[in-house]
Amino acid sequence: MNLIAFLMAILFAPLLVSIIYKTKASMAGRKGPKWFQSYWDLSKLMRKQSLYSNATSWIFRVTPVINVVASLLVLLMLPLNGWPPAIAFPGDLIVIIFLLALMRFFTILAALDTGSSFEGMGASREAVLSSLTEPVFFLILFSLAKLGHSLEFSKALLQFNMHLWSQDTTSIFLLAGAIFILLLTENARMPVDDPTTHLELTMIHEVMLLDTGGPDLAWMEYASSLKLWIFCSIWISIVCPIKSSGWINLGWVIIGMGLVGVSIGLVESSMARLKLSRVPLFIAGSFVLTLFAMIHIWSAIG
Amino acid sequence: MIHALMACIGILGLGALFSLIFSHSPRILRIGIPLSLSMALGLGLMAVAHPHKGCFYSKIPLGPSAFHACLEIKLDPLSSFFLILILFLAWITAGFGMATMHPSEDKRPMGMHWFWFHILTGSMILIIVAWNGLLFLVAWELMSISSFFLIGLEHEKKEVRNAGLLYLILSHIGIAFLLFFFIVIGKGGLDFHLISQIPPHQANILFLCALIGFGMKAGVVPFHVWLPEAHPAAPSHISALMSTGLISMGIYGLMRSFLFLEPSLSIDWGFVIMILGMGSSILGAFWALSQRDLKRLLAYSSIENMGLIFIGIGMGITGLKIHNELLALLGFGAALLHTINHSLMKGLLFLTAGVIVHAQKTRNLEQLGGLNQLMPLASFFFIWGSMAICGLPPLNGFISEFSLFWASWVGIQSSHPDMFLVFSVVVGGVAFAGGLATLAFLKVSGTVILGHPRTEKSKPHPLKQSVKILLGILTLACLLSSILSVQLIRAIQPILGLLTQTQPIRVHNSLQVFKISLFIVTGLNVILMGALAILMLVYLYNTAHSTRTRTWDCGYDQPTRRMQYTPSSLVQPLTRIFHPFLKQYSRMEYQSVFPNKMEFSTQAIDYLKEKIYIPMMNYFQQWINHGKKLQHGRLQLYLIYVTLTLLILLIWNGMYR
Repeated sequence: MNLIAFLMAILFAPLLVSIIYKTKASMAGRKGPKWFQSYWDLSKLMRKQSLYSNATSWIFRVTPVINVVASLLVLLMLPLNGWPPAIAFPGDLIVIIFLLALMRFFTILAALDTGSSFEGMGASREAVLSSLTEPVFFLILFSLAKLGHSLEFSKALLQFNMHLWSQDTTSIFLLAGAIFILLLTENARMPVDDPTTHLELTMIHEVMLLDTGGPDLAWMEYASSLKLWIFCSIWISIVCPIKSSGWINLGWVIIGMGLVGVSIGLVESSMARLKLSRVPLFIAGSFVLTLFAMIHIWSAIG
Repeated sequence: MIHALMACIGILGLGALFSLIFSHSPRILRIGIPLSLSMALGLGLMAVAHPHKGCFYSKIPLGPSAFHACLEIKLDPLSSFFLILILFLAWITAGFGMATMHPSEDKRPMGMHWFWFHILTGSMILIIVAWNGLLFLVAWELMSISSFFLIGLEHEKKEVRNAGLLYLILSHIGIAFLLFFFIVIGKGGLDFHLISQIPPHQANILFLCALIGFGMKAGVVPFHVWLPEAHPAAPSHISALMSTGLISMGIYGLMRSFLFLEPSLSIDWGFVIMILGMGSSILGAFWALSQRDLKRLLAYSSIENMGLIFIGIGMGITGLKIHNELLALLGFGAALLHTINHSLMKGLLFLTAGVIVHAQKTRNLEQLGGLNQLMPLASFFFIWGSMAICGLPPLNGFISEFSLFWASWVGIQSSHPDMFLVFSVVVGGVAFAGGLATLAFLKVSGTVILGHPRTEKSKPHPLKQSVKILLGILTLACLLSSILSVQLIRAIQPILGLLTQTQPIRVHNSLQVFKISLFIVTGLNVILMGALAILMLVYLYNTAHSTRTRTWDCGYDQPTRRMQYTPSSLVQPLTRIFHPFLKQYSRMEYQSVFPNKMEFSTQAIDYLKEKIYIPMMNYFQQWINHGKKLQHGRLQLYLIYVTLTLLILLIWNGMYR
């Protein structure tokens, strides 16, 4: 039973991306891609030949693997609402953050490995924005741990039930908002980054993959859909007040994931991308929400 | 084993003499110096590996017993820890220096350099084992002077002379505070055993002195200004030893003085040390990422890491004062772990930087690039070191950051409500510093190591076998100290017991939960590496059919090497966001109205140095100039000074009788 959260993620992470695309398409009055289009894309890419730049080194080759391995390891430690994770121990949330940092570190290095100025641009933006999101992410997870009274992430998240919701509504609301902003930033979603634009100059994450193709691109895309799943499952575990480890949890997960997917799609269709110099302020917004949540927690215990 | 320890110090002294005698015969030095340092390391290990956990106390008589003058030395768990660390680092850096310094390129005899190297190592060992105020101070002074001469190897350069002078002045300011500290603390005598309970108001002043004196050596902000000047000026193996061993002596001194004053200190000192630590980790990382000089960047990163160690010590003191035993143990534990880990990875980075600088003949990051194509092995070592210092799993930096965050969680959970806010700030600060440091090292690894070389460069000579082995040892050590972290914690338990005054068995039991999670983390690291290896095979099978081509530059037909992102353009968005803290001077020189030759240079400014230290020093210099009137070189008048001083002292003595 402990592996079910992990298996769900492996199987359905690309579907979550499809939900976002479907929502965006229906908002724009289009039919949109097929539901399983992401899977077809992955299998098509897997069968292609890969092409490497002369400039690249072993860094470029290990990056896709590190991305997949690190996100799979994070998923092993992540609960999915009521379902416990496979591995849990006090301090696992610290490991989760550092594994995500490992992913990012190598993605940026691989982008710079090509020596392309476009990829350098993306790497620069990603590096700077992630150095700003990292402290916010730490503070959010530690505040969640404080609310749940445990450094064991799954144990802390299991505490987010009706009782805690009625007790600490304000701080949970603030933290859910903060983590939603972080979700959009870390996963290169709309107000921060536009993955679908045709101009490489304005992208952040996608431009770093310009030289990645074929199976490499498939691994990277799969890893980034896993990363999106990771953030969404943290969000669901905070927001959903009903925790049960039985099959009833499946219903909550489907509703939750659908809700996150649709809301990301709505944000993407209703907002324009922020000016790049404004993005730090967007992250600062998340920081301020976390700060208020922390002050609220403090005043409750003080 | 007192004999082994004395022999270790003796060997270092003999080595110093030896290098002076054979100063002009590099062949003999090449065998003798590694031999003497290896023997010192072996003897040091023997001294520590004693059945009584290496604990002993001994008096060494000075002259005939009628004088009752003796020097006390003592080896306790804390000293054993630093003893092994220093001897290991000296061994590695000496080997590297021996292999990379070329007597043929360099006309000056190397004997003097190795003389001071031995003196430096020996004086650090003496500081560690000293149990006598006088011995400690003399050894401390020797350490400062010998490292001054080591920095000044290339003294014909003006920047080296300036850096050395700044270092000498600031270390002596530090020594002045330490002198006061040891005189007041040893009221009954110089033996540290005579130190008794000190009243709180006195203890506060004394601890402030110790903090300034030892903080000056550790290089925490605001006492850091010598560090980024001295490290680039020194030859690489010296900067490696200084940035790992020498600044760790500041940590040792701080822990020792804390042990002397512990009962009378207030909780505020824990906060003060944490604030200093956070300031230096965040500012150090900020300055590191805006540097253009490879070794200067590494020096600022040392300041950042010293800050992390200070945060650990501050947490330990706070934990003791709020009677939270686990917090105290974990705080000090994280500080000690990071001391080892930082020494290993910074040693690796500085030595690799030495290889790079030697091969490329420049330290300027903007001119370096694509080193991976020119020197693949050195590039691998550098990327490995950067991963470690950014705290990425599975390497050792991750373990010390994990412990630091775990400790702050214990602080957050403690019953004291205000501690939640204090330690949340610590979490945010450490994470912010970590993010900035990652950016700094991404800048070096990404734009200097990877990509295309910026100018046409020929392949440098391959690395020497001995350099490969030494760097390989450090590389492996970075991995091993992560994999063996539980054993490492177990090994430092006696020190934690000493620092927190707890029974060993209680230390063992309190740390049990932490050790279990550390064990699981180690397991995860192993799984990470295993899964990486397996999936790598799948991936290589998957991408077996591949071709090589040019980098895709969005349809642009003529991409050149100069179009690559440069180190400073990589961090430009951040320097723009935080421009008030990261002021940069830029200078542009036009030659004529029409565009032809133009010069442009930018420079990152260390505010503290420019706005506080330099004006303060200038002011002092003016003030001290008045004193010159007294010093005129006439012997007769000097004799009058001596007589007058003696007279005044006699009268003073008579008044207090």
